Amino acid sequence: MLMVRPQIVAWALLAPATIYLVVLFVAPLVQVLFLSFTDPKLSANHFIRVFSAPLYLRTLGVTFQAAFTVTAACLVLAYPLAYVMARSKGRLGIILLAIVGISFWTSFLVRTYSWLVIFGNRGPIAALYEAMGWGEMPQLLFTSFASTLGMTHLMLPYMVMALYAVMSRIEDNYVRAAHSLGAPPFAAFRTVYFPLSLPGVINGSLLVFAIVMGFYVTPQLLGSPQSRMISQLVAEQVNELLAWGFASALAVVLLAATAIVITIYNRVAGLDRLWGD
Amino acid sequence: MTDYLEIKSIVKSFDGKINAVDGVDLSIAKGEFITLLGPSGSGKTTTLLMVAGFEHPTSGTIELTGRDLTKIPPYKRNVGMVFQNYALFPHMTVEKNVSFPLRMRKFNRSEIETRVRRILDLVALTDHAAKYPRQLSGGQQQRVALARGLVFDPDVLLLDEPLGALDKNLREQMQVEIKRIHREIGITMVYVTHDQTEAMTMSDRIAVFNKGKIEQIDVPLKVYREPTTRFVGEFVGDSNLFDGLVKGGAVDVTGIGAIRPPRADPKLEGRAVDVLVRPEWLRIVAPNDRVADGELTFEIVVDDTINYGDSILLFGKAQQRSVRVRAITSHAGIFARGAKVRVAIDPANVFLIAR
Ligand SMILES: Nc1ncnc2c1ncn2[C@@H]1O[C@H](COP(=O)(O)OP(=O)(O)OP(=O)(O)O)[C@@H](O)[C@H]1O
Ligand SMILES: [Mg+2]
Repeated sequence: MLMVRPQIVAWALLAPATIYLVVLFVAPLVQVLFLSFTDPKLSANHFIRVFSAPLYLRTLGVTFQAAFTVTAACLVLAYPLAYVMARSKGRLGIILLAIVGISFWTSFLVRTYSWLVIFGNRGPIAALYEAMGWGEMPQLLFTSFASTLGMTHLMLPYMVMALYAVMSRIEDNYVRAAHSLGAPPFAAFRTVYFPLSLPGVINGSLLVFAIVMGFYVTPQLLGSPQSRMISQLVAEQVNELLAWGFASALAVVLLAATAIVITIYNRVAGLDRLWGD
Repeated sequence: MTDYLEIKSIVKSFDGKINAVDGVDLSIAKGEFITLLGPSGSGKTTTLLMVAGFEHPTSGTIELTGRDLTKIPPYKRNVGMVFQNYALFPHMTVEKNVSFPLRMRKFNRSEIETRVRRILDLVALTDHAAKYPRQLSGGQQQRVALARGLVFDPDVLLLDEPLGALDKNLREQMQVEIKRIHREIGITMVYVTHDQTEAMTMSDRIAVFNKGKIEQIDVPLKVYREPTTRFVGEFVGDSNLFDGLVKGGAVDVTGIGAIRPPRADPKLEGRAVDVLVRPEWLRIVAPNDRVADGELTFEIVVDDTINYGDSILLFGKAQQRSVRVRAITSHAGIFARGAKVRVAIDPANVFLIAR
């Protein structure tokens, strides 16, 4: 029998993924970083511009705010849903899982367009206003409200799945043990179930936060032109102004800002701190 | 015996068709150590969960010192429970786990400290108070679970196969430990196991479960020596069960011979019975040995022997019927396959089970 060293096999199996990541992920990233300092000439001017012009700082602020809001809204909405999914023994859990799964697999674009219809002049809300005689419906499309709502809707399944993955592994016996030791339902939830579900909260929040920081389609289609998110700015620089260097600098700032927030979050709410040792 | 915990004809059906627990009656005295013993799926855990309040009986009641528990939620029952996998809270230290029931009961800090110290002392875990459960060995986790279940002085402590996850040596050590704790604090314990040795060594009384019903409740020796049903005879301990017919106070053991048990129940007269003879109740008769009056002797042909060091277990056949003999002897060599061995039964060592 041919003897092959196990390491060689391991490397051979890892190679496709490694090459794929290097070519399509690491290389472009390095190029973006390179462009941000060199296009059109070697300098840090792009970064100085990002941090000195109020417009760009404001955009960064808007982006952070959207990411925080969407993450918080998703958490508040998803937690009870995932809880019911994980705790209900019967059909209800499966039905909810199926519903979340379906929206999970429906394209972002389709779901974003559906909000265009719902909030549009001829959509159901407009019809409701007309039918009730409430007069002119408020402007919903092209506001930060619509953009935030849309992003929350898009990200909700991610949060539910992250929470569900952890919650479905919390054994009933923990909660039962809490009850048998004298904890009424809410106390058992607060002292036992919730802490045990925290890894899901953290995973879900990081996931949603990181994705929303770089969101483009939804704010572009639903959001207000006055308060754009940073990726819209990047797209504009590239598509309309062909300013590759400045666009790259904005992208690098977005990446760095996201990384910083995630690092801080991990430090504060890291699992190693929550669960000792 | 005053009744302390009283389980009255409880029935539990999960699907409305089959009764997982099918009319169980059990009255338990204060301070008693009672074991629910039975095969997998016989309803032991379900019975325990109903006492703890995690399952609702389909019918029947559970009373503790005369007060009906069935409508009281688990957290108000003051019934402690130790789960098979301990269910220690992984995000709390040993100390926090053990103080949990006290904090829930709003004990003041000094009282909590005193009690936690005392109970950790009892289970010899004082040095591990600051550790998290996953930093402990299986036996230590088990002791934390015990401490946590005991620290609030529950009226009853329920234990569901608490030693199931431990290896043999540790299990025996923990059996002794649990008995010691039971003795020292005199708490009422309801203990579930499917290990009959564990049940024999630990219990004041054993309730043998089968298919949701209790087949027999008695002290361990009685359950072993005088099982009331064939199932109990087979499930508890090693056994020979022969067919027999009672005639004139003697039992005719099919294919073996007649013997007159001294305490045969007159009600069995004329009836077919199962004749229980434990393997160690059979005596190997050497060629020059005397046979006492009334003893039944017969010959078996050896199929196989297992040598345990301190004893041997001999598998043989008498008239095509399997017979097992356990003997304290070091002469395993002479019982080769195919050898013929005479064995004797003392009439006092025969128990008749009604069919
Ligand atoms: N939540 C449940 N839903 C439906 N059936 C159940 C449920 N819990 C137990 N059963 C059924 O009830 C019967 C008794 O189960 P139980 O867990 O009480 O057995 P047990 O004696 O504890 O067995 P084991 O030794 O395997 O733990 C089994 O047939 C089991 O399948
Ligand atoms: Mg069980």
